[in-house]
Amino acid sequence: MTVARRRRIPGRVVVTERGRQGTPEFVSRNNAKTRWFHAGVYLTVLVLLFTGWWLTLGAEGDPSVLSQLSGVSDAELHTWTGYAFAGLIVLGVVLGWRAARTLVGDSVRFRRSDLRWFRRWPGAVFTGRFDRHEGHYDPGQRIMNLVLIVLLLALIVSGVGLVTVSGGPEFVWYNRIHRWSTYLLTPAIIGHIVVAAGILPGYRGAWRAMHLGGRLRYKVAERLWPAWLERERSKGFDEERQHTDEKT
Amino acid sequence: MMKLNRRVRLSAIFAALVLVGISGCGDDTASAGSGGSGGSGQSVTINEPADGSTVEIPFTLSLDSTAELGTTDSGKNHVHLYFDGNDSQYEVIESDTMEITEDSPAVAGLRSGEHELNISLRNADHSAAGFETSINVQVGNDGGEAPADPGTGGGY
Repeated sequence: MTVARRRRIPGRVVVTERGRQGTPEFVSRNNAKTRWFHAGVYLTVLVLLFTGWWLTLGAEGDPSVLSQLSGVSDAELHTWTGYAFAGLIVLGVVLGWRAARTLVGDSVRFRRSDLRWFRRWPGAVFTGRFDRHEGHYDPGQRIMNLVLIVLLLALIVSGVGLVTVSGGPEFVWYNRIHRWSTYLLTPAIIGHIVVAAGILPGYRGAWRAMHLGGRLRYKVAERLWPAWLERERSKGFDEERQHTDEKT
Repeated sequence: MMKLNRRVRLSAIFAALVLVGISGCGDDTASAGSGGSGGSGQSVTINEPADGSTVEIPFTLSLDSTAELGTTDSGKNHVHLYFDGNDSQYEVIESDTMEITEDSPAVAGLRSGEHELNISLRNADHSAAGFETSINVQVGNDGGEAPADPGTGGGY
C-alpha cells in the first residue's frame, strides 16, 4: 500500500513520496507575502465593488448588509475601505518593490509566439490544451494584469481626488473617471474570478497558486506555466530533490 | 544604493499620482460650520414640516439652503434626511423640495410617535459640509395612533 506522505522542503517545490520517484506533486508558485497581499487586495476590492455598486444603483441611504454589520453608512464604508486599499497598495509597492517590478516587467513582455497561444486559447479554456508560452504569466494573464493595474490605479487616484476636493468642478471629473474605471474594472474582475477560480476546465486547480499555502499541483503548473516551471526546476528543484534523496 | 534609489523613485511616482488626485484642493463647496448655526455661512432652514408638527407619510420636505443643491454627479451639495440621529439610514435630498414617501430608506421601520428629524448638509462626496439641524415631529399613521409596542420605537 502506498501512503502519499507529503514533505515540504525549503525552496519552491513540495515533494511527496510519489514525487521522489519522478516529478513532485506540488509546486509553490507564490510566497506567503504575495498570497497575503493578494488576499488583502481582493477582500478590499470586493468590499469596494459591493458598496460602490450599491451606491451607484441608487440604494444610498438604505444600509446594505455590510453597512449594517459595520454600523456606518455605505458611503463611509466605501471611503474608509478605499483608504485601506490605497494604503495597502502603497505599502505593497514600497515593501515589495522587487515583486511589483517583476509583476509589471513580466506583464509587459510579449513575444511573437504568444499569438499562437491566443489562437488556441478559446478552445484550450475547455480542453486544457494551451499552447506553450515562455512567460512567467500566460499571455492572457499578462493583459489582465495590465488592465487591472491601470484601472485600480485610476480608481485610487480618482478616489483620493473625490474625497480631497469633496465637490465642485474637479469632483465632477474625478467622479467620471472613478465611475468609468469601475464600469471597466467590474467585468475584468469577474473574468479574473472565473478564470482563477477554475470554473473553466482549462484553468482547474489554478486557484491553489494563491490560496491554502500556494501548493499548486505540478500538472497544473505544467499546463499553465510550462516555461516558468522549467526555469524553477533548473534553478533548484533538481538539487533539492537530489539532496532529499541522499538524506533518505 | 541603486535598489534604494529605484524604490525611492517608485515611491515618488506613486506619491505624484496621489498628488494628482489631491491637486484640485481649492474646495469651492460648503465648508464647516457649527451644527445648526451655520458658522461658515452655509445653512439649511427647514420650512416644512414645522417644528413640533404632526406628519403623515408621505409628507413634503421643504428646505431653504444657502448652498446650491444638486446630484452627486454635478459636484453640488446635497442634504441627508434621517431620523433620531441614525445617519446611516437616510434619504438623499438633491433639491429644495422633496416628497418623502414610504419607500424612503429614512422612514423604513419608523414607528408612529415623536421623532427627531435630522438634516445634514453634505458635500458631493457625502462628507459632512458642516451644517446640521433638527426639528421634532410627531409621526402619525392614519390618525397618528401610537404603535402597539412602543418599546421598540425609534423615538425618545
